Amino acid sequence: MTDVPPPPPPSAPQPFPGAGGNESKNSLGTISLVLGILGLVCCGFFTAIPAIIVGNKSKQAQAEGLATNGNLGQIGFILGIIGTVLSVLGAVIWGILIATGSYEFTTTEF
Amino acid sequence: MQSRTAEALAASATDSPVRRLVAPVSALAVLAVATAYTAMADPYRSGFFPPCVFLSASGHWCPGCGGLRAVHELAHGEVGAALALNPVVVLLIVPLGVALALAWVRTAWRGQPPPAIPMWLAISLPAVLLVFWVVRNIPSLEPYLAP
Repeated sequence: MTDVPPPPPPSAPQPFPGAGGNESKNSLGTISLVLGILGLVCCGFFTAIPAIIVGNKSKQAQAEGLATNGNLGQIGFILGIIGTVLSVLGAVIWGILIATGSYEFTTTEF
Repeated sequence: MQSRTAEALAASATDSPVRRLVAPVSALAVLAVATAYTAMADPYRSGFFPPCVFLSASGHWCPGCGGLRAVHELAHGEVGAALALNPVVVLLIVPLGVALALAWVRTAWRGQPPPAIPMWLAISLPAVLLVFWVVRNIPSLEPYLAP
C-alpha cells in the first residue's frame, strides 16, 4: 500500500482554498428560487425581497467561483423583483382604498 | 451573514446527523404547524388570515388565491373541492414543497449536500405560474380556474 495522495479534482477553481469546493454556495440559488415562487403565490414582499437579496448573493457566489447555479439565483432575483413590485403596488393601492373608505373587510379573499 | 451561513452549511457535512437535521426538520415542523393551523382555522371567514393584497387592490386573482382554502380542504380530505379552488397549488406547489423538504431531510441525514433544483423546473414552474395567473382571470375560464 503506497502513500501517494489522491490527485486533486481537475478544473475546480478555488479562489479561497478550504472554502469547501465550487458548489459550497449552491444552496443560495435554491433558497432564492423558493422564496421568489412563494412571493408570487402567497407571501408577497415578505419573501420576494429576501429572494432579491439571496439571488444577488447567489450570482456573486457564481462570479467568485463558489457556486455553479447562479442561473437559479438569477431566476429567483427576477421573480423577487416581480413579486416585490406587484405586492408593494398592491399594498399602496389597498392603503388608499382603506383610507378613502371604499374597501371593507367583509369577505374572505385569500 | 450569508457567508457565515454558507460556511456553516459547508462545515455541517462533518457534523453529527442530529446537528445536520436541525434545519430541514425545523422546516418540516414549520410546514406541519402552518398546515395544522390552516386545517383548524376557517379560511372561508375573514379574521384568521390577511386577504390577498393583489386581489384586494386589482380585483384580479393572483396565482395563489384559493390556496389556503385548498390546503384547508386537502387537510379535511376533500380533494375535489381543493382542486376546484386552486389546481396549481394542489398539484404543483404543495407536492413540490413537500418533496423538497423531504429530500432535504434525506440528504442531511446522509451528510450529502442539500438537494438541487433542476434548471428545467426552475424555468418551467414560474412560467406555469405566470400562465395560470393570466388564464384564471379570463372571464370564460374563471368558472373552472378561479376559486
